[in-house]
Amino acid sequence: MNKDLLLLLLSSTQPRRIKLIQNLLNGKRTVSTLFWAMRYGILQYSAILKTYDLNSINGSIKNLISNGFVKQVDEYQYQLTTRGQNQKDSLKESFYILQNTSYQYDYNVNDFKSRILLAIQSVSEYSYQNKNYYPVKTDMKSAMIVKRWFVQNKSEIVNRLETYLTQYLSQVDEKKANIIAQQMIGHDVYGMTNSQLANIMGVSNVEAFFMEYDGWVDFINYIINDNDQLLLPLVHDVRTLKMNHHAIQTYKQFVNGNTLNQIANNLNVKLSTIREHLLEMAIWLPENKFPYSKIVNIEDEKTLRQTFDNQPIDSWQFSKISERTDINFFEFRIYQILRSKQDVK
Amino acid sequence: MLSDEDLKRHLKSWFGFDDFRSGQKEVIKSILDGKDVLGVLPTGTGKTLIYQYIGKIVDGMVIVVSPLISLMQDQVDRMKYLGEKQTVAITSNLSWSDRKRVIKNLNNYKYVYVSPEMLSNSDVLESFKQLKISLFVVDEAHCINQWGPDFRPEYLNLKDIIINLNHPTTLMLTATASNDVVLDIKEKIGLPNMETIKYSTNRPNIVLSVDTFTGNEDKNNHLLYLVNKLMKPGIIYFSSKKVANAVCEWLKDKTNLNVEVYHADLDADSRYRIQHQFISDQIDIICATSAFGMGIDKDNIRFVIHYHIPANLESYVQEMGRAGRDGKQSISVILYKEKDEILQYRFIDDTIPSEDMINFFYNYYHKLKNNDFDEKANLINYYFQRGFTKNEVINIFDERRNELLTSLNQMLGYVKTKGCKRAFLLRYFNEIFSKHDENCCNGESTQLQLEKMDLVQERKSLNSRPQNLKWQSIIQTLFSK
Repeated sequence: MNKDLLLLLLSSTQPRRIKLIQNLLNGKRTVSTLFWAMRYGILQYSAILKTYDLNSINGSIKNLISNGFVKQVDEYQYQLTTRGQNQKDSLKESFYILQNTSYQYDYNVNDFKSRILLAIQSVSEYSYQNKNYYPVKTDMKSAMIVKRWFVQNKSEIVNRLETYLTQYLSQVDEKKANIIAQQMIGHDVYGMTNSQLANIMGVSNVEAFFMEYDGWVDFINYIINDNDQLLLPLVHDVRTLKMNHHAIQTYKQFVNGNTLNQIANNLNVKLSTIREHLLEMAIWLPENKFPYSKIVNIEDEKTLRQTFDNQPIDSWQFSKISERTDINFFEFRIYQILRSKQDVK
Repeated sequence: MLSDEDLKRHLKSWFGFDDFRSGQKEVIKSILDGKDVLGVLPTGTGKTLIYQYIGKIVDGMVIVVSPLISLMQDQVDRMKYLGEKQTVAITSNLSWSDRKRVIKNLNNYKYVYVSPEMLSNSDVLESFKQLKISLFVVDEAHCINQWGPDFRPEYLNLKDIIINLNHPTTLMLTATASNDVVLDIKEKIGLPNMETIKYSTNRPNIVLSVDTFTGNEDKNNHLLYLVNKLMKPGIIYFSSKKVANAVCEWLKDKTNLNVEVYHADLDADSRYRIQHQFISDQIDIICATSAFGMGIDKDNIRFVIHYHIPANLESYVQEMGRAGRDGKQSISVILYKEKDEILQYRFIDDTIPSEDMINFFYNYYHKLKNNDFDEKANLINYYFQRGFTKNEVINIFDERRNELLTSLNQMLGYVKTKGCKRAFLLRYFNEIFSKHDENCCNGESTQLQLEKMDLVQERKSLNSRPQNLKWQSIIQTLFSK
C-alpha cells in the first residue's frame, strides 16, 4: 500500500487499526468496519480501492515507523507522531486523493471503463473498416451490452460517438480530459497503463488511479444526466446505492412502525441480522434520517449519557453498562453512532 | 481423403500461407486418418494452425486442454482474431453466471479451451458428453509429465476423461519432449499406441549464449550493455516478480528505451495494453516472468535474455523459442551468477510439501479439516481424499522433488558446459548435433560476433510511444473519416 496514502488515513490524536483501514478500502462492509471507519472520519473512502492491488500494508507501516512518522500503540493500532502529523499536513496539499467520494453511491468504475473502452475501440476499428483486432477484455455481460449498443446505433455511430466524446471532453478541465483520453483504446491506439500515466504525470500509481477514477465517475454522472442518451446503455448497473438493499428493506419497515421482531418475521431472517441492517443504515444516513429514539428511549439515553458523558466515544466500554442495566449491545452501539454524528457537527 | 494438393489449397485459402511448416501437414493427415497423435514440433511451428485447420474440416467440436489459465484467454482472443468467433475458454476465471451461460450453450462453440480441473468437474464433463467431439487436443503436453506447471494432479485425470468422452481422436502437442517424456506422456494419457511425430527441437536462427558473473553488479552492467547494443525488441525473463520490477525501473532510469514489466500482478487492463504496445513495437523491452508470451504472436523478437536460470531445459526452450519466429537471426542469452539456482531450490521447497507437513496433515486431519488450506495442504488433501496412504504420499512427493532437482541440474549442466551449448541441449532431447560454428553458441571457447550476425542495432529505440498527447489529437486519431 502506498505509504503516503496510509499516512493520510492515520491520525495523531486517535489510534487506528491499519487492518481495518485496509478492509475499508478493499470494500469489506461489516458493521464493525463501517462503524470504526465512521469514527476515523474516513467512511467516504469505503471500497475505493476494491479493484486496486494494495500489496502489503505491513511493509508500508514499517517504513512509516522507521521514518519516525508513526508509532505503534498496541498489537493492532497505530498513531501518527508529531513528525508524522507535520508530514500529513504537507501531504494534504500535494497528494491526490479521490475527490468523487459519496456516501450514497458506489461506482463500478471497472465495468464502466471496460465497456466504454470496448465501445470506443469497436467504433474506432469500424471507422477504419478493420474487423480483425483484439477486443478490450471485458466480462461477457459487458461485452454483450456493448455489442447490442453497437448494433442498435450502427448508422452514424462514428460521427455520433466522436461528437459525444468531444462535447464531453471540451467541458471538463483540460488536464482531466487528457487523462481520460489517454486511456482510450482504438485502431492502433493502446493508451496508457496506470503506471505509464503515473510516470508522465509525475505522481504515484495510486494517485494516477485516483485521478483516472475521478475522471470516470464524472463521466458516468454526465452520461446519466445528459439529454443525449447515446451512451446511457453502457452505464447500466454501474452506479448502485452503497447501502445493501436488504438493509434498506429493513430500514423501510422499521420507519413504517414495525418492531424488530416483526421485521425479522416478515423478511424471514434472524433478529441479529435485522440489528446489523439498522446499524449499517444508521452509519450511512445523516442523523435526521434515522429514528434513533425508536431504539434508544429517553430513559436509556439518560443512563447512557450519565455513564459516558465525559469519556471519548472511542473508549466507551459496553461492559460498564451491561453489568447494571438491561441496555443491550445494539442499543449501546446505536447511541454511540448517534453521538458520533452529533460530535462531528 | 484429401490429397496433398487439396491440403495446400485449403492452407492458402483459409490461412493465406503457401506452404506448411515442418510437421504441420504430417500431423494433420494422421489426425484426419483418425489416428491419435503426439506431435513434438519445435517452438514457432504454428501448433494452433493444426487444430484450427482440422476444425475447419471436421463437423464436431474441438476441445483444447491447456495448462495455464492466463494463456487460455490469450489463445481464445487470438482464435477470435483469426476469425474463429465461436471460441470460448472455460476456466475458474469465469464468473459463475458466465460459466453457466457457456455450459448451457456449449453447442454454439466450435473451439473450446478448458483447464484439466474444469474437465474434472462432473457437470462440465457431462455437458461435453452430450456433444460430438471431433478432436481432443492437449496443448503443452509435456506438462502431463510435469503434472502441470503448478503440480495440479488434475492433469492425471485426463486419461479417465478421454475414456469418459468415448475416446475422441486425440492430439497431444508439445515443443519439448525427450524420448523418456514421450513414453511417459503416452502412458499417463493411456494411449500407448498413439503415433509420435517428432521434429527437431533445434532453432538454428537463435544463437545461444551463456554469460557467467561473480556478482550482481557485473551482471547488471552486462545486461545494460546488451540491451543497449542488441537489436530490439526483446524479452528479459525473471524468476521473481520483485526483481523484474526492480530491474525494469533501473533500465528505465539508465536507458532511453521503452521498458515495461509484465507479470501476474498486473491488472487485466495493463496486461492488455502492454501486450499490444509490444506487438505494435511501441515497447523495446519487456521484463517478464514466464506468464508473458505464451499466447502472443510476435515474430520479430530479436533477443530473449534470462536474468535468472529457468527451472529446466523444457522451460528454457519454450521461453527462448519466442525469439526469431520470422526466421531471422536472433539470440538467447542466459545471465548466470554463481548460486543463482538458489531461487529455483527455494521454489521447489515452496511448492512441494515436506515429509513433516505430510505427517502433520495425516496425523491431525480431523482437527485441520475445517481450516482454509494453503496450496501445499490442498495438494496433500487431494491425495488424502483419494485414499492414498501417508507413506505413498511421502514417496510421491519425494520422487517429484527428485525429478525437479534432476531437471534443475540438467539446466545447470547446460549453463556450465564448456562444450557446444546446442549439442548439449539437443542431446537432452535425444538429438545429435555436431555442426558447431561461430554462429552457434558461445561454448567451445567461441567468441560471438554480434555485429557480424546482424544483431546490433544502430537506433536507440524502436519507436517512441506517443507521450502526453492532448485529448483533441487522440480523438482525431481514433476515428477515421
